[in-house]
Amino acid sequence: MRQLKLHPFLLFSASLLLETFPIPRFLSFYFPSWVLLFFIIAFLYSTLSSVFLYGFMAGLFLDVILGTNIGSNNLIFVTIAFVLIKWIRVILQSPGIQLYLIIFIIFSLYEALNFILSGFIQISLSQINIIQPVVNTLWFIMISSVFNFLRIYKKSHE
Amino acid sequence: MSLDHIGNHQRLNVSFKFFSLCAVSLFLIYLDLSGNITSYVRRAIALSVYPLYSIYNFSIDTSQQVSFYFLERDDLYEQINKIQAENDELNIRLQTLESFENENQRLRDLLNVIPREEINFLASTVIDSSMNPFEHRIVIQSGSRQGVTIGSTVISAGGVVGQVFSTTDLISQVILITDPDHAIPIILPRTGFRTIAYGIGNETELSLPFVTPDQDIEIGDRFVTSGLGNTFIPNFFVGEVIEFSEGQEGPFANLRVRVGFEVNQVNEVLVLNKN
Repeated sequence: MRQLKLHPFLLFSASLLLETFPIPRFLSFYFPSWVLLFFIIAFLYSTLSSVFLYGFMAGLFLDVILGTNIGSNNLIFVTIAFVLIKWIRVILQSPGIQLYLIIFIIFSLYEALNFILSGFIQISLSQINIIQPVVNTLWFIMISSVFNFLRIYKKSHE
Repeated sequence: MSLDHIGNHQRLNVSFKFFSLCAVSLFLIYLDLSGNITSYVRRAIALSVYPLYSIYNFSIDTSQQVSFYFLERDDLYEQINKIQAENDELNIRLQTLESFENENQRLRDLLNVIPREEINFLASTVIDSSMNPFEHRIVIQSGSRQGVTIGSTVISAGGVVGQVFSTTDLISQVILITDPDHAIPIILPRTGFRTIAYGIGNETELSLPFVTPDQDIEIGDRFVTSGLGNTFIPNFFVGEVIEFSEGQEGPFANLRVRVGFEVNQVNEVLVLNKN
């Protein structure tokens, strides 16, 4: 699974670029959190070694871009990195649906942490974006399918 | 990265990294909430992110230029005629306004009123927006180098958009008046009634929660900035009353005010600074 050599830095830059692109309101529901998505993809499919450092930096840049409190996304990304490292064996050995279920749980964790750090006292439960974990997971399935296809294509030509 | 070969030492190392970075993150949150220490960090990182915004602007400019290149001649003539007609109308209005301004100035001189502060206008482009129920913010392509300061009023063709709440050398972040954490002092010029409008996370409406039903307010009334608090420059359009009725519960009226701008259509703004 981790044979493709994608440079994490390139994935990171691409995700930041996508994150800064404003999109029409009606489309925003269907777009994932690019930085988190590419962070997970970089972790699973490339040679990302300093997971904590990348997570920390990704969070820092995201806080600046989104104008949120510096440190909040760092905390979320470091937590996600910790979960990824702890679960890596389960993730890599899980087939199909089970893998995507784990990924869905990770994205849900991201939304939950975001909700808590946004100050849930001011926000009613109806305002939680429950569709985002689903959207993120679907994007993950699409992008990881492309990577899997590339991996198989590369193998068949070796 | 498999944990098969990871020993206790490495597991401890992972836990140590996790907890230490969590501690650093919490410390950063504390610093950001408590003061301006992290503003330097924010400015430094914002500068490094600036090329991303430049790439985005370049792509927008290029697409606009390409679409402009393929416009039909008739469409261009139509656009030019429309712009000329608008320009003529605005010039006539401007002449009327100038005569009013002169008259107003003469009256102020007669009454020895303290002269009004001059306002600097700075045109800027919106390069990013963050719109969700928790926050309504935009990023503009002007920073402290261009003279933008924290608290500067930001307006568009549709009226007051918001105020600058953080600025770096090249870009600034603007909190919109519709943001749930924002409040703006307003006045109804027709009656002189003053109140405060709160953002509620709705892109088009503001909440005016403490208005009693006996106030002289009509549908279509236009609220402007009152200038109280010395943050917003007075007399700029904020919103129009679209509903005024007795509240279902409590002593206050049900008053809905629609803002004059649409976030998705705001591409250019003016940043106002008192001279």
